[in-house]
Amino acid sequence: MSPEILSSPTVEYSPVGEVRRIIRRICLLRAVGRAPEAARLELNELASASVHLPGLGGESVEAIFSEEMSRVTDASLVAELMAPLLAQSLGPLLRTSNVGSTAPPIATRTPSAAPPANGSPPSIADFIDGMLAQERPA
Amino acid sequence: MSTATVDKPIITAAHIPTNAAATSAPVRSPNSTTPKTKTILLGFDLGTNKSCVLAGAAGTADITVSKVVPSVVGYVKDGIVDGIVAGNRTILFGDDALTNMLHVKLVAPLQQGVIQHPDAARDFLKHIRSLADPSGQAEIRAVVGMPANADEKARDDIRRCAYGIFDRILLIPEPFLAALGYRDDSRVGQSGYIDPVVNALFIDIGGGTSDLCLVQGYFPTREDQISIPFAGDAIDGLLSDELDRIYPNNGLSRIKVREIKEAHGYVGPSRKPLEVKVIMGGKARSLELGDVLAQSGNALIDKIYPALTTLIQRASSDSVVTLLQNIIVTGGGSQIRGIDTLLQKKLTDDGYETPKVRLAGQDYKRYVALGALKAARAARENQWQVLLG
Ligand SMILES: Nc1ncnc2c1ncn2[C@@H]1O[C@H](COP(=O)(O)OP(=O)(O)O)[C@@H](O)[C@H]1O
Repeated sequence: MSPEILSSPTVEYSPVGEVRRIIRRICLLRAVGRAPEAARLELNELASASVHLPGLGGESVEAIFSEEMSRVTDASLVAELMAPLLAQSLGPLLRTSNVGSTAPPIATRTPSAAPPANGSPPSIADFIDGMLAQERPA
Repeated sequence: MSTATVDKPIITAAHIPTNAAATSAPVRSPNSTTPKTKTILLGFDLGTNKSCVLAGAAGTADITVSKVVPSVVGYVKDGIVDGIVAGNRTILFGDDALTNMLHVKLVAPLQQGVIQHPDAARDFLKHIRSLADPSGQAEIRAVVGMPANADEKARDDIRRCAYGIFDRILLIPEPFLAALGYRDDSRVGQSGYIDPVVNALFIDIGGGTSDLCLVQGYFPTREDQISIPFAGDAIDGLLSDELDRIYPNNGLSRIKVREIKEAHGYVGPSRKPLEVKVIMGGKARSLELGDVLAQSGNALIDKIYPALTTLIQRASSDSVVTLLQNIIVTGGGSQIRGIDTLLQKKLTDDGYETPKVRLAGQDYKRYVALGALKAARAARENQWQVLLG
């Protein structure tokens, strides 16, 4: 599961939305075993995003954390259930797609832009997100 | 100068919340109202001394343009007779400008990594665009490297200069781009390969500044970067002062002093006797420069080393041992002889665990631009900043 999936900005921009977005990423990073990054995000981005909020519109950081954690857990469960099914139905397709085929590759991304395998660093786009989040005025 | 400074409001997609912002809106370029059919991605290292541009069509992995251009613009002086400047051009760039030094007014658009002459910078960017897209018809999306310590004004200046020349832009700090460019993508994930983007410390020694940056698998924060206003130019200054003291009225220009440094400069213990032949007042002379070169080179180490250890101490205890294996020196200053060995020895002597300091190598000039092109290829639609009039 790539952090991109959950970090795409689907919510309207608002200070609370921003805090929620960061918390979701923290939860996701923790879920995929990237705790040091999650800690960094918490210390830097989350701290600076939430400090300027007058009152999070009634929501507490803890409440958002527990909500987002349960969303991430649900998503992981779905992924876990879906993975073998997907592998089963896509397996033959994946096995044959490279053999003697002149068809263009499915992915249009260059190798450097490829999504990370488990445990590897975030994608370059995730890094850019991190940079833009640092630049964003509070 | 030929172009007026542009002062336009700028809207950046990064501040617009949804990724629909940039995808659905047609690119509005002041140059043309017709939609552009082809997109060219540009990785651009806009350096004080030299710039490097790499370009390729979007959706491909090809690099169709790869050029290092001295960051200088030459405006042909009035009264130069026809035929002196090839093609009777009025503005020359890079090596062309330098070769015609006598017939042009040379302007370096940048100083210490930031734009000093906006008009010349715009002319220079137009030239870079023409290298990447001779037809002038493509949509140009450029990732541009910025000094790590660039403030908002410096960033705005670049955006302003790029308005109407590039369609979309993304400014990314150079140390991070250097890590991305230096990364061997084919080896990422292999055992024994320490991905520089995951755990490395970059020391980039340029003309105006030396920038040190921890890159540890997340985007470097301000605390991960140290920029020191002491680098190649400062060494030239020290060298020049010392030469004036020992050999008064030597008449050596700054350019000559820099050449001496590049040919003979080193760090570490004195390599005396080190005789260097120079022309002074039209006569060849041999100067003993062993001590002078050591002093000026070691002054750089005295500035860099404390910053290096400060950043090492900022790394977490789980990552520091691997980090010590991945200290990379890049930029023109990495060419100073002995710099890797001396830094490594100082770390070892201070008790750091088996440190390894290595040089980025001859390709150092292209790493920032290469990292920028990789970033351009990976950037999401909503991450591009749209320059609007
Ligand atoms: N062989 C060399 N020995 C010592 N210094 C060098 C050498 N080659 C280049 N430099 C110095 O590197 C500096 C320029 O570095 P560079 O990374 O190109 O700078 P910038 O990015 O600031 O344009 C200059 O001071 C130049 O003299």
